[in-house]
Order: sequence, then C-alpha cells, then structure tokens
Amino acid sequence: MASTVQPAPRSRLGQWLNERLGLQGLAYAVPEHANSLPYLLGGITFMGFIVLFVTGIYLAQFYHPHPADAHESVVYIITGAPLGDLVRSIHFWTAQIVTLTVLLHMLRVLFTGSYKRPREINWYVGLGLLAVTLGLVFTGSVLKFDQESVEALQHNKEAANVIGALGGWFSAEFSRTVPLLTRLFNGHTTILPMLFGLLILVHIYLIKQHGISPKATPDTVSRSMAGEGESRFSVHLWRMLGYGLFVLALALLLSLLFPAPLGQPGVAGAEVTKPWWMFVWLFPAEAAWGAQALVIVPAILAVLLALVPTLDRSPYMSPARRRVLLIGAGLILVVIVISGIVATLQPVAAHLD
Amino acid sequence: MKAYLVRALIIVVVLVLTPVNLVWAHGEPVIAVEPAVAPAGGQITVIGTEMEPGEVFAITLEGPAGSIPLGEATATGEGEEGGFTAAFTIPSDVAPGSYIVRAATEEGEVATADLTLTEPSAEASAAPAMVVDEPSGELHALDRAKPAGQIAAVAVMIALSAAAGFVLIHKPR
Repeated sequence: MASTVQPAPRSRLGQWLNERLGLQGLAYAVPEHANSLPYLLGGITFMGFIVLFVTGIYLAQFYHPHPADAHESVVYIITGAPLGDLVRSIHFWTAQIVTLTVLLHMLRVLFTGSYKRPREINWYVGLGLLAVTLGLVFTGSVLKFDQESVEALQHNKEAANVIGALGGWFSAEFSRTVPLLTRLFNGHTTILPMLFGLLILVHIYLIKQHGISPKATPDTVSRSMAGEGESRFSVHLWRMLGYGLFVLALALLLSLLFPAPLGQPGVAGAEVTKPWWMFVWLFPAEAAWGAQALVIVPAILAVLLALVPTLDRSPYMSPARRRVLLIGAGLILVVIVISGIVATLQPVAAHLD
Repeated sequence: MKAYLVRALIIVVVLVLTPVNLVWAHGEPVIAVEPAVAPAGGQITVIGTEMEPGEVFAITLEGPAGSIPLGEATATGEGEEGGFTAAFTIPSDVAPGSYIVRAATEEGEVATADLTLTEPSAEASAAPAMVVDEPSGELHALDRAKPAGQIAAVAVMIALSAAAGFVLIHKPR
C-alpha cells in the first residue's frame, strides 16, 4: 500500500525490502521548511553519532581501559594501530561537531517554540539526549588518561562529593575490583550508548507521532502536524545524509590538519590544564564558589530548561510573541559565552581543595 | 500519582542534601596518591587536604584480598585548614592489581583514592624512593607524520564526501 507521505519504492530492491521489512511504515510527513539546515540539525547530529559509533568500535579494539595501561594504549593507537591516529582524530573532531550541532539544535527548538504542546515530552527527551551527549563527551575525554583527563576526573570526584549518595558511583570506593577509569569506559561504551539508543528511538517516535513542528510565522499556533507535509520523507533523509557527509568531510579535514591532541601521562593532585570548550565556561563559577558550582550551576540550567514548556504556555510559536523567554535565554547564553571566553583567556588556576 | 511523585522527590532531596550538609558543615577530607600507578615494593606519596590540624589518619591499602595497613599520618596546618604529605612503602609481596588507598580517622572521617600496583621491578627494590613525575600541560611529543598515500586517500575521501553531500542536498525533489 502506498503511503501518503512516501510513495512506494520504484527500484526492485526497494520494493523487495519494503515488502519484507515494511520500511515505508517508518516514514513520516515532512513539511518543506523541515528540509532547511536549521531543522536538519537533529538529523545531522544523528549522522555524526553514526560516525562516532563506527570509529568508537574500532578504537575499542586497541584501547586498554585500566589506569596502568590507558595512556600507553592511546599512544599505541596513535603510533602503532593501523589508521589509529586518523580514526581517533575523526572520533575526536566528530564529537566536537556533534556537541555543537546538538546545542544548536536545542537553540533552534527553543527559538522556534517547537517544545510547545503537544511536543513537551519530546523536549524532555531531547534534554535527556543532550545530557547523554555531554556525558559521552566527558567520559570520552577522561579515557585518554593524560594530565587533562586526570584533572577532569579529580574535578568530577569533587563534584560527586557535593551530590553525596547520588555521586557515589564516581568514588574509588564504589568498586574494589574495578577502577573508576574502567567503569567510565563501560559508561562510555555501554551504559550511555544504550541510553542514547533508547532516547533517540523515543525522540524519533514522537516526531513521527506529532509531525515536525509548523513553521514559526507570526500567527502560527503549535499543533500536531501528523500526516501533514508537502515534501517527501526520502527528500528529508537524503538531505540529512548529505549534511552528514559534509560533517564527515569536515571531520576528515580537521583530522588531517589538527590530529586529536594527547597530553603527557596524568599526575594526580596537580592543576596545569583546562577542560574542553564545552566545560570550560564553568571555571569562573568554580573559582568563585568552589566545587559545588560544578553541580549547582548545571543543575540550575537543567531546571530552567526543564521549566521552559511550563513557563511559556502560550500557543504561539513566533519568536516575536515570546520575547521575554527568548531575551532571558539569550542573556544566559551570553553569560555562558563570556564566561567561557574569560576562562579560556585567564591563566590556569588551581580550583581543587 | 501525585503522592508517588512527592515521595520520590523527598527521597531524592534527602539523598542529595544530607551528605551536602555534612560536607558544608565539617569539610570532607580529600587524598591524592602519587604516582597513581606504582610497582609493588615501591613508594607512594599520599597528599591529604581539607583536614583539621591534629587529626590522625590511618592509611591502609585495600584490595580484593583485604586490607593492608601502611602507617599513619597526622594533619598539620593553621586554623581550620590542615593536611599532610606522607610517603609510604608498598609491601613487595602485594599482588599487582587495582587497589584503594584509604585514609580514616577514629571518628569515622574517610578519604580514598585509586592506586594501581604493577609487578615489583628491580628498579623499585633498588631505589625505594620513587621520583614523582612533574605534571605538565604540554602535549605528548609523538611522531604523527602520515605516509603520503594515506594523506592522498584522505584528501580523496574528503572530496568525495563533500561532493556526495552537495549532490544529495541539491537532489531534485
């Protein structure tokens, strides 16, 4: 049976697969504006994750997740494993790009009011995906076990102390048989990817359920768009794949020009490095309020993001009709960016107790 | 449903706030062990901070087989800020593996840190005082030059990916 959102495949192979797997049932209606770059950021992020999964599986064949061997195994990946340096660099740069696209995707959803009824639950699922992404970035940055990783881990332990029992997993005492680094590797390669898989399935299911949000024109009100859309699902997918290939090309280019960095083996108790850009903005807050800022500031941001659908209940999607919320969000964003710039420019300072 | 949510919220708040109060009220001792990877028979340095001057900590090495006492360390300092830096020798008959170094007072204050023990080395038995590496924020110097063939292949892949991406994005609808 031909779908209204996606005509039956024309090729023999397509027809054969469709008859047996019912792939056409996965298609959903796509309005024309959903094929523009801002609306494809989520899909681009997903394509980036595919690159990360493939390169990550390869790297796991050579990485040794134990404090005694971790750094040395990364050195081996760079200098001895076939294409190891290149694959590691692609993994590194794709992670940077994906973090950027996932943040831009969230800002697009915030700006166009795509979190409004009936899409509130999908907003929360998206926040979960953002948290998982940052968790993957953090655990991934620790695995190389160089000076920056050891310092990140120490900050993490201090932050875990602040949240008490909930942070117990990050203490050395949690397991007497498996070091924290090995457990973080498990988190990076099993727990977080499983959570990601679960959340992304729900995310896509809810997009199919409610349709892609309408274009945010001055009078548009939020509503379900299920079954509505003048474009075809395949066009949407091809564009997603097209931009995904651009991401791959960019990651390859950056890998060639700037191979993923690796610092000296880590020495505990010292602070001579700074974290990556996605975490460095927390430095000034930590300098001012101590380790609890590493928990409290992100927690406040998470609560504010979770409150967005509650604070903004008007049905209108146009940014012009949601000025208060967007100005507030913009100010917070400016503070974060300035904080990041200040932290990047200022000399390394000791924060740990 | 509402009652369940309220109960869940109370549990989470209690879990979060109880230890936070403890931390804020007394300050929680912290230890770091250098080096984090050492050979059995070698020496480690335990650095303690966030302690009250005069507090005596029993330092033990804990692993799957049990607990091995290493010695004691007394926090020194002025006012409420105290700490210690103490060197301990790991017994040479301890099996290699993952261990926890625990510093505990009789009052129940505890701090821990990971320690990985490797096989005892001749170097360790000959020179018990191990040199702690100097921390460095510099990049690890490695030969990362790639063969010309690999660079050419990657350049082709970049061009192909970008071209395919361009074609797919501009594919007629």
